[in-house]
Amino acid sequence: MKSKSLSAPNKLPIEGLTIIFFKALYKWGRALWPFILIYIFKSSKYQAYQEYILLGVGVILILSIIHAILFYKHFSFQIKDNEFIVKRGYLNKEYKSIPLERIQTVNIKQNFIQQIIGVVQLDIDTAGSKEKEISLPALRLAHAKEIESFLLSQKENTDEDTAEKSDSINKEASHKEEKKTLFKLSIPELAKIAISDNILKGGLLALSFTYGLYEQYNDIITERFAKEIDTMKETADSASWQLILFAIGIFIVFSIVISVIRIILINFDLKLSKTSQGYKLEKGLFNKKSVIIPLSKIQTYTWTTNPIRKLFNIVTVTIKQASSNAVDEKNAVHIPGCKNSIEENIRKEIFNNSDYQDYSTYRTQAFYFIRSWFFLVLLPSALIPFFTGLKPILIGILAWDLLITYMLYKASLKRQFSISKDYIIAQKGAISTTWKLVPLYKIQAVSFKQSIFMKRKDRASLRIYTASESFIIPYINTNTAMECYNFILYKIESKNRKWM
Amino acid sequence: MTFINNHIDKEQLPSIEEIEYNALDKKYLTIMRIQTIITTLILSAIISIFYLSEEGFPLSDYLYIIGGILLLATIKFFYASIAYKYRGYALREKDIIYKKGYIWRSITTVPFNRIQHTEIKENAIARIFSLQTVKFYTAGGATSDLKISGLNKNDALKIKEFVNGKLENYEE
Repeated sequence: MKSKSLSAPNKLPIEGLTIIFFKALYKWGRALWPFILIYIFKSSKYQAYQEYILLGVGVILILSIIHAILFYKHFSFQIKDNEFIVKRGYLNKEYKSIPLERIQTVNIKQNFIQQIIGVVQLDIDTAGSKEKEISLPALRLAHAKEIESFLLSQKENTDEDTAEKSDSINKEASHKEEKKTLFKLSIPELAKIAISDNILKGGLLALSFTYGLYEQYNDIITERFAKEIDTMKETADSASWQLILFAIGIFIVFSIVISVIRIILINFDLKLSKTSQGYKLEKGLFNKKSVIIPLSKIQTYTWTTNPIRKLFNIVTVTIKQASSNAVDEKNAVHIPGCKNSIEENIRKEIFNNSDYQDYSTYRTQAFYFIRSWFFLVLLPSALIPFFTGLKPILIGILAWDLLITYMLYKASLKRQFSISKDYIIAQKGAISTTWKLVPLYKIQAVSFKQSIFMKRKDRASLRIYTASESFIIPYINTNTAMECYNFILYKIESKNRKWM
Repeated sequence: MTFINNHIDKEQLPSIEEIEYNALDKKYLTIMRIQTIITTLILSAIISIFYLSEEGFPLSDYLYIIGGILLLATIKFFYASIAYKYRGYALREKDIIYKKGYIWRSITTVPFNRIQHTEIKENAIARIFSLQTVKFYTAGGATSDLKISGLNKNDALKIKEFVNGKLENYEE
């Protein structure tokens, strides 16, 4: 019944030593990088201490090697009594055991160094509230795949029928054969995705990163680039419209470049295929990632379009599985550049419903946008000139007001939600449009929210919690909100369906 | 088993509107007030240290800030009795409901078949008043975990055991 190789304690392959060593070095680097930076910039100052610095580097290297050897020696994993067990640590011994039926996601990843060494990393997550994650840092690919398919098939068996357990090995074999590629991304398609992505995001990321660096190492930078900064200040004094426009132009170009590079790196060689258990996604250039998404574990399904994507006929799909760390985006599987027809097929297959006629649709009420308009447009426009004087920023304020008013108007046309007897779809967006589809029985908790102002206007919001994320349905009629609240609870409680 | 799939009339579903909530322990009001006082003291202390250590921090600004903190604290102190009155929980056959807030009202329900495990917790102040918090953990991080504070030990244990009993029913 069990894969033979796993029932006894397993060691990592010998290549694992290198990975553990580099992981240790990486941790040192992360702790010490400010000093490294200072050293690089001011190396002349520390000439006299050269020997000590070399000694320090030597000690770190030796410590990392010792750590790698000890860690490697004390690391073992096995499957015993239907539990996945990992023993690790030499100073603090750690013993982690996860019941197989609790395992939610199994991911195979490969960063740059792991690619060079030729090993992969296997991450296992249970989605419990308490931290329960296991990571095997270095495995040979074949072994990792074996463990992955074993764990997933095991899970499937306990879900459906325990009697089938004896066939699990046979089933595994057949799993491997039934794989169908749904789509692959070529370079031109990657370019399309990059163009249609939110380009400002890349720019802001880069900007905040450089700004953070600048803040932290202000003095080093000013010393090193004193002259350049002086000339910059001089030009800034005579700053004019042209210069500001030029800066904005540079920023936009910069954003596009960063965003294009980022998107190509992340989605390089993206391949989505269908297996008998669900979907498999592989992507990445330097950090390769391979995720298996079993159909039964999908919690929320989101798809997004925008005018440029519409032109190219593509959407971005985001699938979220249950995760013990619902706050960060780790549990999200992004599939950009999905053709409309393929997306529709995937959606049909995951939720095996094609009937979108039974839905009742409710709009978010205008009061919500009026309120947002008050806080984002009216209040700032009235207050800012009061503090700064009207003249210098009048154009800025006007531009902001027009932009936000337009966005809110667009958003008010789009924000709505639809509920059928089995599903809920929340729609939102201003320029882009996003739909989130959740089967009602996968919901874990519901919150009814109403301020006294909303009560007077007979409005209420609902917050829906799932094992992978929560989202809000703002400002609908109190009655509708109550009805949906009761109905969702009824759907969860009337049947004991497994939702993870 | 025969398959039944009746038409559901939304009007007839059990509604959370007609529910009697259990109040929290009266001592919890005192705890809420003590917490307000402690936060005020800490905030004022931080501002004062800042004022004393920073040259050129004008006295008038300092007094404005302290005054603002005290004003908010006073409002919160008296609002506590309203906030307390509007907090409450209710157990139903299949779920637990917790409501709170007067100005910002919220009613949260977690079905028992979505709870992973339960825990009783108590912090230092609550321990003095022998009050406890029951926490209900759901899957997938802390977003949908439900916490009910201000329960006396008896109630906390009773609730925990009631819910745990329900959880066992769901295991195959």
